[in-house]
Parts: sequence; C-alpha cells; structure tokens
Amino acid sequence: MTDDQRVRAVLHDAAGPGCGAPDLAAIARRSRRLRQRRRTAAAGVVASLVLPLLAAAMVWPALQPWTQLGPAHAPGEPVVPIPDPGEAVAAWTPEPGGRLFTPVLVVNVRGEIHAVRALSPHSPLGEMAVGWCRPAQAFVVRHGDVFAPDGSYVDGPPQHGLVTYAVEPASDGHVRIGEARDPLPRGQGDGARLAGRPLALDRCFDADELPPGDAMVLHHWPAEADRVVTPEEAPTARPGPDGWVVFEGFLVHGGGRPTALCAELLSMDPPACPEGSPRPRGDLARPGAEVALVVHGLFRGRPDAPFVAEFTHVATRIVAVDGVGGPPSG
Amino acid sequence: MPSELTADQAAFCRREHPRLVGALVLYLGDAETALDLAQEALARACAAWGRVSRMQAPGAWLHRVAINLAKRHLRRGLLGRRALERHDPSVATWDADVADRLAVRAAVATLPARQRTALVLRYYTDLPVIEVARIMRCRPGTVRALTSQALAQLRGELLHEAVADD
Repeated sequence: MTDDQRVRAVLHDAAGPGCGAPDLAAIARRSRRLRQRRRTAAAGVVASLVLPLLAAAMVWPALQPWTQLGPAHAPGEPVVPIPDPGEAVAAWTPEPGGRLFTPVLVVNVRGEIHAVRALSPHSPLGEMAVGWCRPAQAFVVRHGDVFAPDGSYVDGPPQHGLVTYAVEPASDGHVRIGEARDPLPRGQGDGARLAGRPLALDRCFDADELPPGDAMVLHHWPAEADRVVTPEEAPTARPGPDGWVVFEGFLVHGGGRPTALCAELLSMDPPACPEGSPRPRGDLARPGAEVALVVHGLFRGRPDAPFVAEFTHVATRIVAVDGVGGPPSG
Repeated sequence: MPSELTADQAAFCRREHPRLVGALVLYLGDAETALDLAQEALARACAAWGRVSRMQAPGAWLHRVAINLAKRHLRRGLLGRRALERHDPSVATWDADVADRLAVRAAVATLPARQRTALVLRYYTDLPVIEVARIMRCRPGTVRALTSQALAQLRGELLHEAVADD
C-alpha cells in the first residue's frame, strides 16, 4: 500500500461508515425555497431600482413652478384635452382673417375649465406673454401682472383682465375653445376675491426658479423656441404655423430716436442700434421719451417686410436705462 | 411524499451525497452539520440545475459550494463550541475505533483552512489536483504544497501511529 493510499484509507475511515441515502424530499423542499427566495430577491432588486425612478418622475413635475406644456396643439385646432387638475395646456386660436393665431392657455382649477388669451394687455412696449404659475394657481407675467384662473385682474398695472374664451365640452375628455369674450375690468370676477390675499407667487417670480434663458414663455410655448432668429432676419423669416416669427435681440426705445431692434448694439452711450435695423410699427415707431430704454429679450413679431410689425414680448429684461447698465454677458 | 426532483437530479444527489457528506465530516469534524450542509449544497445544485447540469464537472462545483458553506459555518463559530462539547472526555462512547476516528477528525480540524480544504478534496474526494486548484482558485503547485504541508502536520500528530501499527 502506497503512502497516498494509506492517507486515503485513514481519511475514509475517519469520515465514517457512510450516511445512507440522501433525503430527496428535504433537498427538493430546500431547492424550492431557494428558488422562491431568488425570485423574491430579483423582484426586490428590480423594485429598488425602478420605484425610486417612478417616484421621482411622478414628484418632479409637481415641484416645478411652471407647467411644461409641450408643443401647443396645432394652430387653429379648437379642441384640446382637458388639463389635469391644477394644470394648463396650450393651444392656438385663429384670429379674424384666419392668417394668424393667438396663443391660448386652458386651465383646470377645481374642475372648472377656463381658457384665456395668453397675452397680457399691459406693457409699455407691447403685449407680454402670460405664463401659468402652478404654486399660485394664477396667470402671471414677469413684469408683475397677476390674473385669476378665470382671467380676471388680481394685481399689477393692467386696467383689466385677460381676454377669455368660451369653453364647451367635447367628446373623450376634450374641450372646444369657442368665441372670445371681452376682458373683465378691475374689481370683477375671481380676481376681486383673490386681490390682496397671499398667493404662492414667490417661486414664479424668483429668477432662480425660472426656466433657462429667462423665458418662461419658451417653457410654455417650446414650439416657438425651435425657430428663434435675429431681429434683422425677422422681417424676411418664414413664419411658423402660427403666423409669427420669434426673434431674440435688443429693443432700443426712447432717447429722442426711432425705436429699433437689433442683434448687436452699436453703442450704449447713447444706446443705439446700427443704421437700417428693423423698426416696429405703431406707437413704438415714434420717437419715445427722452430717457432711452434698452430691453433684451425674446419677441414674437408679424413678419411684414421690410418692418417687424405688431410685435409681442415673449420674455424680456431691461438691461439699460439712458445708457446706464449694459447688455447681458453671453 | 414525492421528491419533486427530476430523475437526473435524484441520480446526481444519490451519486454525490456519500462523498460530499464524508468530505464535510472531515472538514468540519461534525457529522450532523455535515449532513445538513450536504443537503443545502445539493438543494442549491437542484435550484440551479439548468446551469449546473451543463457544467463539465458538476461534482466539483458541488464541492466548492459545500466547502464555502462549511467555511461560513465555521466562521460563525457555532461548530467550535459544539466540537468542544463533543470532545469532552466525559462523553461515554469511547471505544478504540471511535477514538481513532475522532482523533483523525480532530487532527484534520486543527489544520489551517486551506490545507484542510486541499487535503479533503484531494485525498478524500479524490478530485484531480487541477480540479482542486480550480475550486480553491489557486495554481496546482499550490495545491500540492498545501496537501504536502497538511500531511506533514497530520503525520506528526497521528498518522505516524497509524502507519506504525501496520
């Protein structure tokens, strides 16, 4: 017997005489439990990865002050889905003549559906786009205008509320935007009830909370952001399906000079656009006040070559008054 | 009660069970725990049968699982306490064969873990050196060195007597 064989024999002897047949039923039971445990563990891993993502996806939009509306419904399409409670959807309604369209916001507040023209009646330099501030459940304009969900005036310089639209039920959770109605004067509608009450407006006027680009309206009307041009390009730009052109640049108004729009300022003192820059029509075309105002922002204009006529502020910031200040960096 | 195992699984369990239990008895020095861990290792093999049945050496995989279970068991320290109780001289069953068997088990149990694993897998389970090396995740030369060291230590303690008796 070799040494290895001796070792084997001693070890086999030490291991004992044997243990009989395996308990197959017990092995099967354990095996079944193991498989169940493995399935449970796998489900737990999947759940631990997926559930936080789902929860974040559900909670995140509700934490944002502005409703991300997505592309507005097709211009001229008067039927839109009813928004979720407290939310808004965007739409376009045709203006008389049918060539141009007006932005409309439809909101659902405590089951009541309202539709308003999403342009504020107030601005010394034209109409300003209106946003839906979720925390306040109110329409707001960056310059401080506040309107109740029914479009009535709450706060700010305007003398009346927003233009509203009749809303009629349509099939399958949709509403039809109907005829425009004159805005209510100050002190009427829900706005009179809300005036003076604390509204959660802070976050909607807090610059840190605003969507990038200082353009809450781009957040509301992202379709417009797809085709931003310079003021110089605006008069000849191909308008979007809503009939408007969106452009970004400087508006120089006042200082005894004609109002002008340009991508780059010729100088800040006095504030001036290069010769030949587009000029808006209407009141703004006339030489303004002695104090010159420089506004940087996004504008919507009707491309009516060679001028940009009847433009609307989408999002603006006054960057200089009478040459004091400067254009924003970048 | 039906075992709920397939014919292949049952045959595998019947074939591997005696060798597995013996290896674990040697490794742990405790037959009761060895039976329990052997059953657990076989249950794991059956739970993963789709994968295990396709392996080249499912027996080697089974022994690796069993040794890992035994190591974990030893780490928990339960066996140490039970072994002390078992080797208590006051325990009555003390004939010569049993004494030899327990002495060998005790001597194996005192070997360092890696030496013990190499010795049991190579000399009790009769796995080839290369298979033991794969189970222990080391080179074959290391397995040879470990078994050689283990044998030297065992000889020093008791194999010397066993060989002398021959």
